[in-house]
Amino acid sequence: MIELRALTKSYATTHGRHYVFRDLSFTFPAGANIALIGRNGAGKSTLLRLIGGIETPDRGRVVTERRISWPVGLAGGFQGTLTGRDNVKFVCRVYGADRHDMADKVRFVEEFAEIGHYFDQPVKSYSSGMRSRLAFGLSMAFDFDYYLIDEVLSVGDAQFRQKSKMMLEEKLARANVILVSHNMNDVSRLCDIAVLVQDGQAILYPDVAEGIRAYQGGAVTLPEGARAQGDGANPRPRQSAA
Amino acid sequence: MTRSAWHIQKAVLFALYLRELKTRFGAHRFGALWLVLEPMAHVMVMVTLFSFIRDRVVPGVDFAVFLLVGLVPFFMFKSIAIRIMEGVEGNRALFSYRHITPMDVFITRALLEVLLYALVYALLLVAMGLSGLDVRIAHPMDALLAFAQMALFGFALGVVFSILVSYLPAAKIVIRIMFIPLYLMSGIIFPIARLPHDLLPWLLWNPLLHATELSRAAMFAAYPLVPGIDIGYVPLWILCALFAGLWFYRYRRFVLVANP
Repeated sequence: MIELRALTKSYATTHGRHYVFRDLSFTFPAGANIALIGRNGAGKSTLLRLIGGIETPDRGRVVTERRISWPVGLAGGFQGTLTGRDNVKFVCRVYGADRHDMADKVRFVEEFAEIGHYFDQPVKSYSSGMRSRLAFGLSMAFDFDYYLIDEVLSVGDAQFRQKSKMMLEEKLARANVILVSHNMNDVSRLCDIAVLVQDGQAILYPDVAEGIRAYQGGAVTLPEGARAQGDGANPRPRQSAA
Repeated sequence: MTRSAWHIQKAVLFALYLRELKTRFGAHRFGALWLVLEPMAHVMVMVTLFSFIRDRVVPGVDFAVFLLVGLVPFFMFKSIAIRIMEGVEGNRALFSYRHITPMDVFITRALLEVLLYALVYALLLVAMGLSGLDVRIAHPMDALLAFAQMALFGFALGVVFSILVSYLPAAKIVIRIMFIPLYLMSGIIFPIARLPHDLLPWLLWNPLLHATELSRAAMFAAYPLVPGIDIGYVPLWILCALFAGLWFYRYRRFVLVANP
């Protein structure tokens, strides 16, 4: 379960302070795959980053006991002058992997990314596709309770996309995902519930299809039981892959 | 398997440390050599220059050693401050991993610089000792304290600079240039007692002058300390800079992390 308690987040702009969220309280039901949907600039990515602890709210708290990943496939997190291997080792160390664990993870990423001898070359010599492969492999080397995904489900060529998809589904047998996407196929394939982010509010749709309709319709139609979100909204079982 | 805060802190600092170590000289391999060459070059040029004027500037003190004791701590101070100032920019990508904060980068960079310059210092002192100069340290504890004080001051100012630069990126250039007059006014290449005495009250505002003179007083048995040098002055500066730096850091830490 992830709980937002009176969350306020704002940014300074040239036209004064812009509030993305003001005293937002919200509870994400446990054990569900969550889609964050909404228009561009509605605050989906900000919410994702707040949950991931990358950004910190002005006021309020994100309360959870779960382990939450960094944004999956984050290719910007690499040091260009270091090799792929050193970058992977760095993240392993930060996440407290011991020597044995680290060797396993490095081997996993090396095999998964399939970038051959480039794994021991500086990351700055990589093509963007190779970076993405490394980044995705690195995310998949760790076991989290929640994987945060911001739009990057499709990287690399068709074969790698297929492999990534299978890997992710394997992970999701034991973990959950919080997905920000405009691709409604991905949303309905991966997610159990939808959260519509709009006007600084978050509205829970226990039925993904309904959430998508509300988002695409543009008008907010409150779902049944939306008021009772705190006391156990019941997510339906995950759809089989479309 | 939740890790304690201390455990995470240790893991982050260790990981960053190895990373900084690998990237410190990554751009050009000449970097490691430069670390030793820079103070050596300054010493050599100055010794040559001054040997035309007079061989002994301070009685009972070898001029080359005199220079080294002033130069290396100053270079360390400068290097810590500047590398902390540029620490956020060079590592922005890292802050997507939730455990890593700018302060972790600051601490790691300062530690690495201290270690490197301590090594360079020891190396050059031993080399000078082998070539027949007197490099005995008169008051080792004081020398250690003086070195630590330089490091801490560099750290405190580095934090202040990093905040300043986050408000005003152009300040970076001014700060870099500022080290040149500082180098000249801190008694690093010539004894401050040689300057006209009516200048002294003004020069004594500079904490680095105090720090440098105290380094020398710790090194040489009978070093004539200029009146007005105060043991408590640099710690006061450190305290104020740390207070201001950490205070603003508290408010700016998320802005530091955010992408520009």
